[in-house]
Amino acid sequence: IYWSRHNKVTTETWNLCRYEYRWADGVQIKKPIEVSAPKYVEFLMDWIEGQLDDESIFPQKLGTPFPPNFKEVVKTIFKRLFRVYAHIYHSSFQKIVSLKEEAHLNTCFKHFILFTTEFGLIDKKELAPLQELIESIIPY
Amino acid sequence: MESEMADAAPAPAVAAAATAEPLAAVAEEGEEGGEAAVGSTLTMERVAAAKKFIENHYRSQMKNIQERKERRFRLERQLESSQVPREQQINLLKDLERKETEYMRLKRHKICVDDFELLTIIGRGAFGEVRLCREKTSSNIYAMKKLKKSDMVVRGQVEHVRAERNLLAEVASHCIVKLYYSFQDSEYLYLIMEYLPGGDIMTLLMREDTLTEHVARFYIAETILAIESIHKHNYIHRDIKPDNLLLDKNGHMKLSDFGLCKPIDCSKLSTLNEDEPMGDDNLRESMDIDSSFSETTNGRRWRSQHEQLQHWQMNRRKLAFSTVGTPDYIAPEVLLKKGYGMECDWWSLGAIMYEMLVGYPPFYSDDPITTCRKIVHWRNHLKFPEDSKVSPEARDLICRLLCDVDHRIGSAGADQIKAHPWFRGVAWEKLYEMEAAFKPQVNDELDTQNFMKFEEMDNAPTRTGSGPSRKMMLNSKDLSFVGYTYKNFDAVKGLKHSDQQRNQSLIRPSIGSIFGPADMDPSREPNGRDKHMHTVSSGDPMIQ
Repeated sequence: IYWSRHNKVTTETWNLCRYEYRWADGVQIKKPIEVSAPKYVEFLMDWIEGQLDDESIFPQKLGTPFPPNFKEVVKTIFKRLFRVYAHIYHSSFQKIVSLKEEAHLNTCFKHFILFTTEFGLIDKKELAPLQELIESIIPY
Repeated sequence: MESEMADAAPAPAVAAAATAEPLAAVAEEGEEGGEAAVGSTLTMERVAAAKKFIENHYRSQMKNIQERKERRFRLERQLESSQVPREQQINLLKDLERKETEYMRLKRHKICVDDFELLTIIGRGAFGEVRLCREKTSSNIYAMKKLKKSDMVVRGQVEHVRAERNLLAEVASHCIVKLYYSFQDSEYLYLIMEYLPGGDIMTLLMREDTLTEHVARFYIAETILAIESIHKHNYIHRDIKPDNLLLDKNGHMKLSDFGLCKPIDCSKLSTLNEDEPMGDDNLRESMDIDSSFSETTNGRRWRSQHEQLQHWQMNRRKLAFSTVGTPDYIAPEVLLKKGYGMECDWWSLGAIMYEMLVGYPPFYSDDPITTCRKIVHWRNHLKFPEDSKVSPEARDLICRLLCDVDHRIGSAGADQIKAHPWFRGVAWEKLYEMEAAFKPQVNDELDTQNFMKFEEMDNAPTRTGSGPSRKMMLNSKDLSFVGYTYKNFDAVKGLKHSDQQRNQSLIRPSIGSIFGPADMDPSREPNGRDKHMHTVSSGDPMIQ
């Protein structure tokens, strides 16, 4: 129930408010809070780093098994990373171009999309905000 | 889980507070829609760092894929030409696959100084130190070279550090010290290298004073192969000296930069120029510094070889513990800051050869500036002591190495030097296979008796948290060191066969021994026999 409400709220906020997102990681911040895009990215990167460093999710020792919910954890990471790409392309792309970084951004995004598609890590409906761009990478 | 996050929360929060403002500024500029200002200085620094990071990431990825294919191809090609039974061929290919998997895992491991147990210090310089260490997971013994980032940047050594790391990572040669890992944290760069317990030529000379021509010939020959090896990869060492010539436990020499690139104070060299006459004033100044200097009965200013050697030995010991380098082995064109080429390394070889046979460097002085002046005016200062017993052939070779860059032997390649009469009888292809001319005493793998003793000065480095260390990757200081991390394929040991028992009667080739010949200097392959057929062994190549 919590997660369902979380996703619903996030989706609504995303559509309604161009520069505001609600962040909740379910641990430190249980209720979604309003944050600016840079702070959202900051929270997200910190959270992902915590996931990667958590050996109960990403084991370091040879032979240690991965947890049963490993794929779900990875999918959540990729879903949230996709939102960062969506934000950059929708709201900051001209800035990226003026900084002459668009080739770097496009390379990373292409790699990201090919990887997620190969392993089915993001649901198709989640990819809707960048549909046209993705079709130029992977023609349907 | 929850408590762990609670503990971790404060640091990211502080980092978030510190970094949120610049990001907000960027966003605000974006919102305004104006493109008048491209970005603040901090923004531009971060953009440059991000670009470099991304470019390096994909370049490394492509290179790793290519190298993996090459290893597979090399193994398959060697198996075809070998007499190994098909079943064993399949096993060897599976071994390689397992090793590749372990290597990928190793590369993803966030290596840091905590992965090593720090042991004895064996070297120290202006920018850091070298010490023995043991990798905790494998128990392998390595030499850890640690360099302070801020010092590297301030003293303009970034390019040197990168060149050294690149050389060690690219030149896979038995003449060169092997690099296993390189990594960094917020304060330091680290190079994890092969530990060579035999010491170096400097400590050997400190014990022996001089070498016989037989011993000197052996080490000069091995040094020629090492220099040839790096020249073939378009590297110029530029700072070859006795303490960069390391000895393994069997006495064979490997080239390194263990000297930690002790800087020569360049500000004082600005007055040095080729046209400045070496007048009596300069000579007198030098004599004043050297208070023990006195004219000999025959009126010449040279002391006897023995006295000069004793004086150099005292001075050398002082130099070895200092953080200021000696210019004794540096070519004149390097000192004069003209363009220089690979020939400068052959000059260094000549200076080392002179020292091996005479007992002290050819342009020795108490004062580094005077040494530099002597080098620049080598025509007036290259002399052999009267009581020297150096053979005519050795003198001739030294004089051809310590001369004008235009006439220096070796300018047409190492073969030019190998052909010199002093090397008559040298079996160049077998130098590293035969018994070394000198056998160092090494009692165990942790033995450091062949190195000078250094005292501990700093506390052991403490690891910075993984969170902040990642964010700090985008500081301008770290921009200089993007792409520094490296892990050598040979750091992964070959796996034992599960069916070793069944093949007990056969000499079983291992991946290491099959790859062994390929690791040798390519220039040796045309001359040598098929080494694969003669180096097959069941021993673990990592155990020396």
